[in-house]
Amino acid sequence: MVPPPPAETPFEREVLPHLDAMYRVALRLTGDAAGAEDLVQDTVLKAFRAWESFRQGTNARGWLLTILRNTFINDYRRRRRAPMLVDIDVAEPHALVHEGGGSDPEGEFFHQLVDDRIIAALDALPDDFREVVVLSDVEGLGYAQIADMLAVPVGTVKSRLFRARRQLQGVLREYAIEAGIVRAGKAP
Amino acid sequence: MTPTPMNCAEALELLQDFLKDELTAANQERLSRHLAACGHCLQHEHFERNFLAALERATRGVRCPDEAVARIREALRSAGPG
Repeated sequence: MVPPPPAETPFEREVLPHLDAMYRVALRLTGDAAGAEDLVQDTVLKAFRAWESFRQGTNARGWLLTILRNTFINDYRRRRRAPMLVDIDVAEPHALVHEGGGSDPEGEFFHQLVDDRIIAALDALPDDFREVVVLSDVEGLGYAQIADMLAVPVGTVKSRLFRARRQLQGVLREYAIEAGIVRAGKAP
Repeated sequence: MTPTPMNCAEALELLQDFLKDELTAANQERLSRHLAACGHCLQHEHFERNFLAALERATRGVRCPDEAVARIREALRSAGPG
């Protein structure tokens, strides 16, 4: 006879609902599924040992993602590849105001791009850019929370996000032009 | 009191914060009014929203695999009582 599953502990009740968000972020940080699974597991175990430092009633997801990111930087990034360093003042391949979508200025073409193309473009962003896009635009965290997590000023989060989106949009626009979904150039 | 109208330069600068719900209520209102009156900036807003929707669609469906969840639960049981 199969024994009944043990009752969930308070820790599990608080933490397990965030596994999907943790995994999504881990996948974009590590770039592969096996690494992401390991990173999530390491994060959960660290969180478990640090459980007393979690303030009940606060945002567990932010707390967990902070542990996840720190674990990634300390234990994973080093052994995977040299971090891609970006001088964000010069990393500006696209105009400040986006170039628009050529024949598709409202960006309808974004919906015709397959998921894999979008994910490949996201993964090709420099680390500092990719993480703010993932935390902000995929997981929906606010500026202040991301700033806390990254230990940088809110203004830095905003400017990284701005530049990251421009860069990503530029790459996706190129895909769309290559695929013949939109024509280059200004709208009529 | 009528809020100060917003010009295009300011509107485009604040668009990102607007889309993230990070503007003050006053600026939210000013930008909304500007978008209602300015087709050019509204086009930018649609461009950003379409981009964000596509990004979300491509990424949000990913879930932690069941085997990984089981392994994590198991690791927690071995780690001790919560």
